[in-house]
Amino acid sequence: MKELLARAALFSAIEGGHTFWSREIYGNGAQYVYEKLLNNGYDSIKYEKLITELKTHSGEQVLERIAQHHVRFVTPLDKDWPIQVNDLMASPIGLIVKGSIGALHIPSLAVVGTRNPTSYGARIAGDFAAGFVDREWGIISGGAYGIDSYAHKGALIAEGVTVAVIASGIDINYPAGNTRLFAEICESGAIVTECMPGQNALPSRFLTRNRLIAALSKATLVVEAAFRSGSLRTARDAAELFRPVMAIPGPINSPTSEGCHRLIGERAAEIVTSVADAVEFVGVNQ
Amino acid sequence: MSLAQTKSVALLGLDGHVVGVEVDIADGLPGYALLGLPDAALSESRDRVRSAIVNCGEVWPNRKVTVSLSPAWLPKSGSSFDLAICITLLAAHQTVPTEKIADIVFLGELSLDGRIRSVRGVLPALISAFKAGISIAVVPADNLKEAQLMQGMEIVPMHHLKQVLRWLRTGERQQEQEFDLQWEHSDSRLDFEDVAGQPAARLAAEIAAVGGHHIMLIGPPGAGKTMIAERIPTIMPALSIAQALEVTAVHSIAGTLMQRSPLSLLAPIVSPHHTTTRVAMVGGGSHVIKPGACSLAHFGVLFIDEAPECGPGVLDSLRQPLESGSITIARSIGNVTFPAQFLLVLAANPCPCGKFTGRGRNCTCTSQQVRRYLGKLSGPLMDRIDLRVQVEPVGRVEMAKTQLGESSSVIRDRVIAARTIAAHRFEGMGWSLNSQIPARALRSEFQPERAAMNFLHDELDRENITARGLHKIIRTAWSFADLKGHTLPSMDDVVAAHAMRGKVEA
Repeated sequence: MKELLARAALFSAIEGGHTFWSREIYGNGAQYVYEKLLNNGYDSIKYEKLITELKTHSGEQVLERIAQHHVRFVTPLDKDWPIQVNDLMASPIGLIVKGSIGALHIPSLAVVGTRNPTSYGARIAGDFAAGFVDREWGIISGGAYGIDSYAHKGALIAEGVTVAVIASGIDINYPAGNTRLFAEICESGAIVTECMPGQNALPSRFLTRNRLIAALSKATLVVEAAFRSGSLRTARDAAELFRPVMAIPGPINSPTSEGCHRLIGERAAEIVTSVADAVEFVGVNQ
Repeated sequence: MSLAQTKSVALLGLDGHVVGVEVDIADGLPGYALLGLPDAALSESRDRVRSAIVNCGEVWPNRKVTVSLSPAWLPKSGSSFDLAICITLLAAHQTVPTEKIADIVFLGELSLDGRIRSVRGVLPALISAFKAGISIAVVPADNLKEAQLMQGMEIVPMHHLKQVLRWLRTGERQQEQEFDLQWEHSDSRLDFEDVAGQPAARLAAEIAAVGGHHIMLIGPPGAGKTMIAERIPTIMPALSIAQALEVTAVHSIAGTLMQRSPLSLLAPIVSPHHTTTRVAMVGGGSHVIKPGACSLAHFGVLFIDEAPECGPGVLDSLRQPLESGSITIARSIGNVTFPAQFLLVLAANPCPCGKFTGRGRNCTCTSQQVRRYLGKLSGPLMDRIDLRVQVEPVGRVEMAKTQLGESSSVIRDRVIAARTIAAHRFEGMGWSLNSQIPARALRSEFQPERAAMNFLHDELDRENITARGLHKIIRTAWSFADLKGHTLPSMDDVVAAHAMRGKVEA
C-alpha cells in the first residue's frame, strides 16, 4: 500500500517522460525514491520544486483526486499493467485509464499522422484501422483531428476496440470537437493518459505522449505526415523500441506525404501499400 | 381642357407595373406637386423636366401643375418617368395632342437640354407593358438594342425631346436604323486552349458544364485557377433565346448591359470580389431592389475567387438559391424574386500563405491555420460542391509545350452532345440537367449498374459517404457516362465521380 501511495505522489509531481526518475523508480521502488527525496537524499536545491510538491500533496490526496473522475489509476504493481510500456527508456510511473483496461492487452496497431489529411489519407487511415480490426487487432492513436480521428472512427465502424492516448488530463477533452468521439471510444475501448486530471495539453506533453502510443502498440503505421510532424516522433520512438514501423507512400508532390517519404527514404519505415502487406510485415516481425 | 394622361412603367424587381401619369394644370399660384410616392431621384424630375421644356423652346405653364403617378400606393423610383411627365405636361398645356399619347408607354430620363438618356430596366418594363396590352413604346435610342428584343410591340427610339414632340405633332420621325437581331454566340477573347496542362481541372470543368455540377478549385497562387474558371462559360452551350431574354432582363435591371451585350447568347460569368457583402451577393436595397451577383450569373457561372476569404455568411447566403434556383428578397417595399440558376465555381488557396503544395516546405502556416482555412467554408455549402479539384502548379514540360491545349469549341461540342443525350433521357420529366435529378428518381430509374451500386453501398456502410453524398455521386456519374456515351453509369464512371467529390464525410 505504501508503495502505491508513494507512486501516486510521484506520478502527480513528476512530468511524464523523465528518464532519470523513471529509472530510479523502476530500479529502487517508488517508496525508496519518495523517502529519499523527502529526506533530501537527492540534490535538495535542484529538486526543490519537486520536494515541495510531494510535501503538499500526499499519495492519498492524489488517489482521491483521481478517483473523483471515476477512472482507474494503474501502476506496475497491478496485474493488468500493460507490460509493453516497460520497454521504454522513460516508462510511465502510472497511467490513468478511462474505459476498459482490457483494450490495452490485445495486440494493437498505432495509426498516426497529420491533423490536415487529404481525402486520400483520411480514407487510408479508416481502411487500415478497419482492416486490422477485422483481424482482431486494436487501434491506438492520439485522439487528435485528422488521421487520428479517422483511425479511431474506422476502428469503431468495424466494431473494433480502439484506444486514444491523450496529452491532457483525463477530464479535458482536447480537441473539444472530438468530445463525442471520446465518449464513443470509451464504450468499448479506452482513453489513456499519464497526466493528472486538470492538466492542459501542452506542446511538450504531446511529444511525451507520442512515446506511449509507440510503446502501447505492437507496430506503428504513419499514414500522412508533413515534413515536420509529431507523428515522425512516434515513428522514431517505435523504432527505438525495435517495434515495426510502416509508412504509407503518397504522391511526391503532396506536402502531407513528405514525412512518410522521409521515413521510407531513411529506411526508418517499411513501405506498405495494402492492409495485407501490413499484416504480413507485422506478423513476421512479431 | 388642361388635363392629360399617358403611361410609364414602375419596376419592382423583374415585375413591372404600368403606371398612369396624369397632369392637371389649374388656375392658382404657380407651383408643382408630384404625387404617388416618388423617391429622391424622381422628385428631382421637376427641375429636369422644366429645364428641358424651356431649352427646347416650349412654354412652361406658369400655373398650378399637379402630376399624379397612379396607382398612388406603389412606391416609384428613378429617373425613367421624366419623359412621360414632360410629354403629359405639354399635352395638358394643349401643345401636344392629348388623345395621341394616352396609350403610349414613355421611358427615359431627360437631360437639361432635352436629350433623352438611357435608363435601367427597359426590357422588363416593356415585357410588363406588353402583358398589360400596350402596343407602342417610346424608349431612349441608347436602349434600342435591348428594347428590340421585345417583339410584337412598336418601339419608337428617340434621341431628343424635340424629336418626340415633332413626331407627336406631325407624325414625322426620322427612321432609326434598326439593329439586326443578330445573336452573339461567342466571346473570342477567352479560350481553353490558353490553359497549359491541368488535365484534372479541365475534365472537372467539362463535367461541370455537362451536368451543371458545382465545382471547387484548390491550388497555390499562379497555378491557373482563375484562368480555368473564367473559361468555363466558353464551353457551356449557348443560351436558348428564352434564356437569353431572361438573362438580359436581369442585367437590364442591374444596369450592367454596358458590360454584356443584350443580344449575347453566351452564358454570363460574374466574379464578385471576396470582400463583397451579402446584399451584393444575393441582391437587395431599400428603395430599388437590385439583383445581386448570383442573379446576374443566372444560367451562367458565379465565380468566387479566394472563397475562404469571404466575409462570414456571404457564401452561406448562397445556400438557398443553390437549392431553389431563385432568390426572394423581402424588404418593406415588397417581396422580389429574382432567378438565380447558376453554376458555382469556388477557388481557394490550400492555406493562408498559399504555399502548402508540392513539398510544402515554403509554407509558413501552422497546422491549425491550414486546417481552419478551408474549414471556413461551411459544411452545408461544401456539401453542395460536387467536384473538388487540386490544381497543381504548371510543370516544366507543360510550360515548354508549344502546342496549345484543346480549344473551347472542341470541348463545347462534346458538352453539347452530352447535354443532348441527357435532355433526351429526361424528356417530359421536368428537368434537363444531371445535377437536377431528384433523389427518388436516382434510386429507381436512374441507378447506375449493379456493381457500381454495390461499391457505393459499401462506401455507405463504411461511412465514407453519406446518403446525400451517394446521390450526388450518382448525379456526377451520369455526367461522366453522358460524356463517354455510356447508356448507364459504369463502375468507372461512379469511381471517377466518387474521386472527384474528393471528400471523406464520416
